[in-house]
Amino acid sequence: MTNKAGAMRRFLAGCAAGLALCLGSLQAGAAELRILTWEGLADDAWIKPFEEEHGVTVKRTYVGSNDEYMAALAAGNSGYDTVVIVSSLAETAINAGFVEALDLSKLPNFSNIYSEFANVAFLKSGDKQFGVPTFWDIQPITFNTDVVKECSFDLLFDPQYKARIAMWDDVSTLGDVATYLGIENIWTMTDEELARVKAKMLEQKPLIRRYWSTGGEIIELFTSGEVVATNSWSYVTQALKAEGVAASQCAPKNPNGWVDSHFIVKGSRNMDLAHEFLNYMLRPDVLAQLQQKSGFGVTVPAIKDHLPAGALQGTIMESDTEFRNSIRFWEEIPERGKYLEVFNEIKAAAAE
Amino acid sequence: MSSMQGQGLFSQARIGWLSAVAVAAYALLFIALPYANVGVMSFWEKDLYSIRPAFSFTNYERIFARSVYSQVVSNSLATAAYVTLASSVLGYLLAYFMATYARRWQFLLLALLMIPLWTSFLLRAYIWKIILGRNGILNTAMMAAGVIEQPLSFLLYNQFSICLALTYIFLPFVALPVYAALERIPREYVEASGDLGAPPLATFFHVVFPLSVPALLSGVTIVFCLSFGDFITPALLGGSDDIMIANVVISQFGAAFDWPFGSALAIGVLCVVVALVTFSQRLGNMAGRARSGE
Repeated sequence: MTNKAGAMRRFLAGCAAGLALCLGSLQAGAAELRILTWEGLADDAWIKPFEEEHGVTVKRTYVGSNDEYMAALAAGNSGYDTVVIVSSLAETAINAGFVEALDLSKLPNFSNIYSEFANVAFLKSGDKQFGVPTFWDIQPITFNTDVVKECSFDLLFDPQYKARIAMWDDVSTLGDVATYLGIENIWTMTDEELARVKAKMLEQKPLIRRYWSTGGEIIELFTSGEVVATNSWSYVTQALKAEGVAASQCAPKNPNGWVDSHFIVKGSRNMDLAHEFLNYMLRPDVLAQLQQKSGFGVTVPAIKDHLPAGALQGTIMESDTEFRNSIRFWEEIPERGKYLEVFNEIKAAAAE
Repeated sequence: MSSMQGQGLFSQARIGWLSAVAVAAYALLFIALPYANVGVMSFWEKDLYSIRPAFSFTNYERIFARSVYSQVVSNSLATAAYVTLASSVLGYLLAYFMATYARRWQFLLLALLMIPLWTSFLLRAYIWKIILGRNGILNTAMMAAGVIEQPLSFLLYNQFSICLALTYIFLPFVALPVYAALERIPREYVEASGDLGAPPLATFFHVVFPLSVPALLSGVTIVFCLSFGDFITPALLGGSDDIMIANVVISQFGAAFDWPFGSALAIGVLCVVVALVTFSQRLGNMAGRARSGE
């Protein structure tokens, strides 16, 4: 009996110690900022200085697709403080209540942003600002320069590259093909217009080696020689060049583009720190490093003051206001389910 | 010793009761509740920005209205059937060899069969990319040997590569239970069959095989269900037309934000799997009755 009582006391003492450890780690969590972002957008080069400046730890979780972070946000209680959301899903995230309204008084660097990005409607609801536009790009065509000599969107439908073409496994690809076919309202296509896009992509199927999902996957498809061209991201081209692959990219005739913005996740317990982070990510010296590393455009033109002459040559950052205004940025797709269904029909159809 | 078993904190009765509670709690928390949640949500509706509780059959109607879903299910069933057939034949042959002829190699073969199970599923699928790719081991070796001039592209990113990888991954699920069943067959049965004049093939088909059918069926059921619902392998090794049902289900829970429809698809998958397991059990019972001469 005495032994039993002693064992019970020891057991309870162990439980109490465990509980204290758990509570301690929860309290310690206040000094940790958890961010959900894309690989390449949260490099040590600019994350470590933020950690040192604020005496915090930034825990980075990388997503491979838009599906991943939307699923995490929709599940609720994700524990993340900030998230990077693409322009076509921003309205969904705001209206579904996945993200917090921002306090612009805590974001003095917001004034650094190009005016054509600072006022976009899809980052607002009523008079409240929810997102901070940070990165942008057109959707280029990445190609292997050893095999392909001329680059245009036609390349992705050229029969000589049978089973050597890849396409991004994302509904925005339907928008790219729709633009190529001359369709005007690419995010609100009619059934007839969607059918035209589907027919074109079915015609393309014998040329398709893979519909790729993540940056890592398409980079591997190029490095292993499986594919020679794809609709793509500048990051992919940049990464391939860094790996020594003979790769380059070109812009389609009427490019579609995207804007990725930082948001604060609903229920973040680190609101002030999250605002600090968003503000930090708008610093020209920080975005200068990010631009050079990723190849993406950034929303702060003053990065050129922090880069050597010629560093931005040939990049999207050389574009002028007229070009930026001409880009059709990805917007909300009201019938996303229908678009997804059409893409699944394309993927399920047998390649002849 | 025996007196201790019937009393105290860890009496047999109490252990039995605690086990039953633990199993029931596990089944409730990790099986019944999640599936009930998915089942309920499958009747809900999605608006533009939100999911609304309702009781509507719209999601199920959509599954039957659009041919793409039956097409994807057919593709998944076909892939599962090929994998099951290949795993069954190869797994059975391997198990038979290990139980009958391997003798001192038995332990080594068992180890070779089980060691891959200790590595990640993802790794076991991914390794086939390295083997079958354009610049992979197989193409490089064949080109070095002068067998081919250009790399073969049909080895990877198609149904063949999915089936090959899944067969490799799931082979132990057939081979191990069949091996265990064959090991348990008394040698006297086989000897008696031979003494009564049955040739080896007749002994196999009338004595050995019927006694291993329940184990084979359990392996077949597991392999079919796992192959049918697999997501990783088609995502890694599938080509432009190898989308499977799990890939479609998962796409509804992401950017599409259509959890109700995704739930309806998941319930559809569950129904197919339950039907398969029930059918397999019936077959097993029939085989059992046939053996006992009922």
